[in-house]
Amino acid sequence: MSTVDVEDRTGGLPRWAFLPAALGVLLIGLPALGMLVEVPWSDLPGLLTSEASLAAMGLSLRTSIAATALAVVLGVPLALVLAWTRLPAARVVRVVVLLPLVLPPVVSGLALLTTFGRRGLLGQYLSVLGIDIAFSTTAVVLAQAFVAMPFLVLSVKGAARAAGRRHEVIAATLGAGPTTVLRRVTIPLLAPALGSGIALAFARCLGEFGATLTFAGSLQGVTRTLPLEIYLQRETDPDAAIALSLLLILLAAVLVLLTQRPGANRHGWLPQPGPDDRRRSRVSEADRAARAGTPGGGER
Amino acid sequence: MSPALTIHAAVPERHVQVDIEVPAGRVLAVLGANGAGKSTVLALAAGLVRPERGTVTIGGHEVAGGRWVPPHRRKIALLAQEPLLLPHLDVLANVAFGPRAAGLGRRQAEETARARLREVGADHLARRRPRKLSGGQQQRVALARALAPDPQLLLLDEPLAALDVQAAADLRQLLRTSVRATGRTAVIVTHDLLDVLALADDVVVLDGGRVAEQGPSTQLLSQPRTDFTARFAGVNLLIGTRLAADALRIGADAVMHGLSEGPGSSGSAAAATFSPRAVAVHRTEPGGSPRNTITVRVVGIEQQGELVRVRGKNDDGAQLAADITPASVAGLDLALGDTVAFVIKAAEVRIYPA
Repeated sequence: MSTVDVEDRTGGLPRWAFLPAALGVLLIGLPALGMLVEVPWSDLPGLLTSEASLAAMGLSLRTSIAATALAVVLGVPLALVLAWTRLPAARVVRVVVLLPLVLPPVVSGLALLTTFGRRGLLGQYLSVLGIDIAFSTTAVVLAQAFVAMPFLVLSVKGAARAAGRRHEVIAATLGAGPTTVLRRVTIPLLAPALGSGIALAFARCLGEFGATLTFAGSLQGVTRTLPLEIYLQRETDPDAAIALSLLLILLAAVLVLLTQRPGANRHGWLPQPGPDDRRRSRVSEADRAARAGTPGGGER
Repeated sequence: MSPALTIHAAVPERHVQVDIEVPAGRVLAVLGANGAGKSTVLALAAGLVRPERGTVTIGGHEVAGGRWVPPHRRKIALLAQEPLLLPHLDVLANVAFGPRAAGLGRRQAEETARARLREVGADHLARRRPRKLSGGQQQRVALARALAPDPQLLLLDEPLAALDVQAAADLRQLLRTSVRATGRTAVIVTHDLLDVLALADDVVVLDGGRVAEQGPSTQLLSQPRTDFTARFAGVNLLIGTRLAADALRIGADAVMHGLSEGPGSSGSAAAATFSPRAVAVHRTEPGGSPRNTITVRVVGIEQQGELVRVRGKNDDGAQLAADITPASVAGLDLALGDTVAFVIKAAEVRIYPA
């Protein structure tokens, strides 16, 4: 640790800063705690294994896995293209890709509906072919992939940018073609970022509500995922809603925890967990020395 | 036989235009200041930069110009300043990467890898992860990896610059035995005189993206013709016109006397070199036997081993160095900006055609 690092536990911050920080934690933590208190623990097994609950869980799991897979297949190449190529329209593409992050999900759902719906831009032609996507399980998957892919793209793109192409260049000079380089160098090197991207995307899929409801409706076993089931049960059976919510909170917590594994998100998009030094000490001497002076100076 | 590497190419974007040829089995050192275009030359050979004009050939085959051969089909290997081992593979798998990419089966590739690791004295590291190795060990493994696919051409981009002195010395020796002694063709970019002495047959000096000087390394280092090369070789250089075989006019009225090396008629361009240790520093011009005296303004005083290097600029802006003892510096009471006389015995000056 260098002498200019703050070793004090307070991090050199003014004491008052801890008050809003603590309130911030409470704002998020308290509601979760509040619900835990309300959980009907004794009825939990029955509530979670009701037909409607099981159907919603099964559907959520299936669609989320499919949507995450779709996001990976499309999102990883997209992330690499954004990170490493000089597209003429890169700015526009970047905005388009990030749009779902900031759009209200209901707007995303509406956009999907007006495109894939029976009279939509694409939907009208698909409809002629006998394919109706809206209000089907496919629609759920599309809605989830739509809102979740940006998480994956951001995570992988950030890591790819930070890592640069140096290992890839060396691999190419060793005789590896672009596809081999992608498979044996790029993907393994980006595995940590890819892992956290997948976890984030999967969590976002599990939680998807607005776009799904708008684009896919709420049909038990077909399009009624866990969040939709919770919303529905809230009126009729609040205990069931709370039981299912608990399940989602636990799942979400586990997934976020996965993305915070030490080293999981190296060069990734999320802020680094823990103190910076732990990560730094894992970098070898040579890496550090090398980083201090990239070869060739400013010639590249 | 055609040269192993030819680069007759221009990359205007980087202000580089060079004509370089490397005969098979020889090692070429590329020298030059930062930004002189050294990395671009390597990138042209490696296929990381496309020339806007001209051609690049490797082993007699055109790889850039009329047609384009991407890096992975050029049968080259690149050893950079950073080892850049793949962190997710162990040492053996790293070295086997090239042979595997060439289509060898795992077992065969690993056999090759083991042989290469033995050659660099790193076979005991085969099952280790790169991050567990020291910088020197990593670079050794990186060398084994570069040699494993048996490249036609080895490109070395300051391969020792990131290592500590001892590790650099060890690896330099290793490069000498595994590259130079085995007759491989290589291009090495370096800032280090020791690299050139140990490894290079030929030298190219780049300046502003152009070849400023090239030739066999022994000749270039003993008779430099550019300031960069002279500084690199650790000698003072003055360029002028010959008055006689053993005399040279520098600037308007200064004359350097020395020993003639190589022919030259009077009026032709000639160079004079002398070691900084051959320079005596005086406050006022001394008299005596035929001496060379150059009046300079002191622009630098630095420690240089057990001596002190005094750097001076003459009226023409040429920079000269004098290595004198700390006691002399103290006795002269030298300070930056002082005007002093650099005095060199004629017997210490070598004169040759520039």
